[in-house]
Amino acid sequence: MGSVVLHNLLSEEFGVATSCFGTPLALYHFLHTRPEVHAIQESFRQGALTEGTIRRFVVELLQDLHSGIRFPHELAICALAVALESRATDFAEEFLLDLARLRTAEMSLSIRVARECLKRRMELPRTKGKVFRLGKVSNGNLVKFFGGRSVGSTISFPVSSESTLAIAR
Amino acid sequence: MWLRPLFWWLAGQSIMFEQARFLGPTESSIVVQTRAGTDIPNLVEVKPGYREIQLYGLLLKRFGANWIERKPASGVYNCAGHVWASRRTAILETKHWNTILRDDGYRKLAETEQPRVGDLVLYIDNVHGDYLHVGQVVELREGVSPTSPHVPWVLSKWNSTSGETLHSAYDAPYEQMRQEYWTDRPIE
Repeated sequence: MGSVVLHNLLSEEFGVATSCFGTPLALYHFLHTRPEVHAIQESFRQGALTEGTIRRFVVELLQDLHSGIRFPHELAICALAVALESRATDFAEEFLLDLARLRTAEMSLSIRVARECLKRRMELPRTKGKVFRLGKVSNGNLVKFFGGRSVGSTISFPVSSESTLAIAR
Repeated sequence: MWLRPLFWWLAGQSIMFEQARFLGPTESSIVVQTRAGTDIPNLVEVKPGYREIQLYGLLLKRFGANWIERKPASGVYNCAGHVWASRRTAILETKHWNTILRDDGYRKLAETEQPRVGDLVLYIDNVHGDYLHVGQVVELREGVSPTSPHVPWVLSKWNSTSGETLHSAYDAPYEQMRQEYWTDRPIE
């Protein structure tokens, strides 16, 4: 399912629907309404899509980046930026910051959409983390998977991630 | 053969946009100022590739049954660069559109005023108030009856890599939008 939702971003339907915006801000708001973006966010929530999959997808897309020609997968990168905007993980931060820092004319649109996402991200609540006393946790991999960190006899999780809620339940 | 595992190993590292960094800074801009001397940041866009040309073709197919193409897909400028920078560059930020409208003495047409050739039409998102697009009125065609108002026809460049098309002001590929007409003409 994860790779399907990513490949939907390369579809003609998505490309045409998102191709008529004069400013990155308008595109940013429009992308927030798109089912393709919601599907990515939902796949994250369900665990069907991992950040590693996105990383590989992006690296693969960037093989088509050539000097002097518009990057053909700009809109897919824009959509990923919007999908990752509210995700409180290091990967999302890295994705948005690395993209926003670029000065690449071939990717002018996605760079500006990422900057918009970062601007909004800064406005999100800045609560960093919360400690849950869970007693004995048998599955260390599960904790690691959900982004937890061992602090003495307790384990902390990023408070805004879905994983926190999942573990807390 | 051995390159593939290497590629996937690299993909797992923190180099998502390394390919873009290899290109170096390729953005370029020109001097654009408003009448009041305010600098307008801009970007000379690169040319479209196969994908943009294909998408522009699909856009014409889907929405452009009644559009007339003036120019095939091209880079360099967007809609704002078309109307305010003589097709030399793209002006991408909404706040700069507002600066130009203010500094260059544009005013919004009243409901009772008819647009004229040379006026601008701004397409605005109903939900967030974003500017979606700007085009220039280049023709006024007769309405459905001799007594109905003329229909403005607009020359548009839909994005930084599309072509230019002539279309009725009401025939645009947006949902949930409103139009505003702006002019530099004095109030009569």
